[in-house]
Amino acid sequence: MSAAVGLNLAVAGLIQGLLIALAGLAVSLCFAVARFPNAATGDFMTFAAYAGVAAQAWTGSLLAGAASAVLLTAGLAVASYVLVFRNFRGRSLVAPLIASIGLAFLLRSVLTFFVGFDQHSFHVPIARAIVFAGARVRPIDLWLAGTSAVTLLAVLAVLFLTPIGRRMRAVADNPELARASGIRARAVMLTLWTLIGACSAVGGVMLGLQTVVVPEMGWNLLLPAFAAAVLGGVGNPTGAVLAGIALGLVQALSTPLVGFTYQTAISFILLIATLVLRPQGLLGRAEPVR
Amino acid sequence: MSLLEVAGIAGGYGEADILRGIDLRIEPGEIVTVAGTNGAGKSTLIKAIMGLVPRCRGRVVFDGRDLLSLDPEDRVGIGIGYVPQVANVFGTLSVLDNLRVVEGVAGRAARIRDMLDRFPALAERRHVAARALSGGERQQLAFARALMSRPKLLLLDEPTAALSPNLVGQVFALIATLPGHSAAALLIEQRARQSLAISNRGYILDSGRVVLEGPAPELLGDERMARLYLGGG
Ligand SMILES: Nc1ncnc2c1ncn2[C@@H]1O[C@H](COP(=O)(O)OP(=O)(O)OP(=O)(O)O)[C@@H](O)[C@H]1O
Ligand SMILES: [Mg+2]
Repeated sequence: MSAAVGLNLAVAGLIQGLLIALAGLAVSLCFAVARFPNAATGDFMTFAAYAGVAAQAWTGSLLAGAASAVLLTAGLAVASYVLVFRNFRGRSLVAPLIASIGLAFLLRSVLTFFVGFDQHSFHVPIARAIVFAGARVRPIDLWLAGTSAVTLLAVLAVLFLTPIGRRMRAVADNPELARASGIRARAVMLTLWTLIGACSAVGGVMLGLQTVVVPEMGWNLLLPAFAAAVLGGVGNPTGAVLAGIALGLVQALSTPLVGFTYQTAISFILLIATLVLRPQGLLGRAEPVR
Repeated sequence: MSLLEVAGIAGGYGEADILRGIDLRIEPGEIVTVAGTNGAGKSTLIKAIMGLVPRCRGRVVFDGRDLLSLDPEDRVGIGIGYVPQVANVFGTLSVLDNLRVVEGVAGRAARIRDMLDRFPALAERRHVAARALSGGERQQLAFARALMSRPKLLLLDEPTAALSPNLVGQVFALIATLPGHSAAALLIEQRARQSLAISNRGYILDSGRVVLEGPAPELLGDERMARLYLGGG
């Protein structure tokens, strides 16, 4: 492949990678702190895309649409904790995992009921692509890359640089010791689900801006998101972000070799190979001390 | 009035009761040893006092308050500290973060300075992840974390179990200083002789019941006790 084609693929891969990183971070955070793989993550993203489209149609502003999507999806995530996942505290991951699959189907059928199977889309201002060293970059792509990178960094900053983030890491490390250190689950869990909602929302709006908004869009991203979370080391949010970006790049750059259709297969193969060969992930899991 | 009064406590994790009616009391500033065979329910007893056993009945009064109606988080707030038998530090957090993360501590910054003064080894390694500490340092951090909230009662679950012999003496010496800092201690120990040597009183558990109790010197002198529970050491 020519250098220009390669560069174009790398740019597309980077953006796809940032998108996977957002979804992977949402999955990884949930696994680290709430201790189950949240299969509803993709449908949180779908919800965000529809919420964004609706809010843009209502306000006429893409920015207002995206901001509303973040707020509404954070609300949805918090509500799903309060109404559903909170009840499984201290149980094995099977019950909340199955509940999250149920929630995923419920969200999708409710969305389908209200919006039907018609395609919706964001209104993106038309602008000329910027050509840079032979790579064509649409201005919207720059926005997408910038916004997602800022979101990823902001979420990691909350986790690693704030007192509530420290408490979240303590609960992730050892929930019983966290309780015995006076750490209350409530504030930690509300913050966790707000962050999960925000990541999913930015990811969902990003996904919607790239193509069209349909009920299955988020569900389709669940496999690469899980692959990123596992590759990065289950329950290691920073690892999930790095793995997500890498996965996007690998998928895009391998397109000329394996074709577009097989991109999903790459996620699947990496997911299974990691689970079988190196269950702690490429970047290792932060194991609690025994 | 006793600092802690446990009356007829029973319960466990699943269907079966692990604790089967235990009475126990601790006076302010006392060190009390609980010993017994493996699986006797020693850890479960201490967890029940901390509020970490799912099913628990009976009466537990601490400092005049009924404990069983309180969450573990609230028990920390009224003066109970807990050093678990395993996984007693947050391995992924730095030494400093292990101390900073404790909730309900008045004057936290000053308290952290106190702890780092008291445990100089920790001060030196304050930015290191706790899982990288040596066994002795880790035990010090577990103590410091539990002491952050200025507990009146410290629950210690086999604090010397994983330590090399030369560190064991250090940990017992540290525990012996607790009453001087106006903290009582409930000390679970396999090394029952050494533990009773720094204790006021002791209890021996077997199958979820107290089978023997008394002042430490008496237990140390008891023939039957020595044969059954203290072993050669
Ligand atoms: N989290 C748990 N869930 C279910 N059963 C448990 C749990 N923890 C302990 N048990 C069971 O409760 C019984 C008492 O265990 P406990 O840990 O209290 O004993 P112990 O006296 O502390 O023993 P050791 O000297 O080995 O530490 C054991 O039969 C054990 O298998
Ligand atoms: Mg034990």
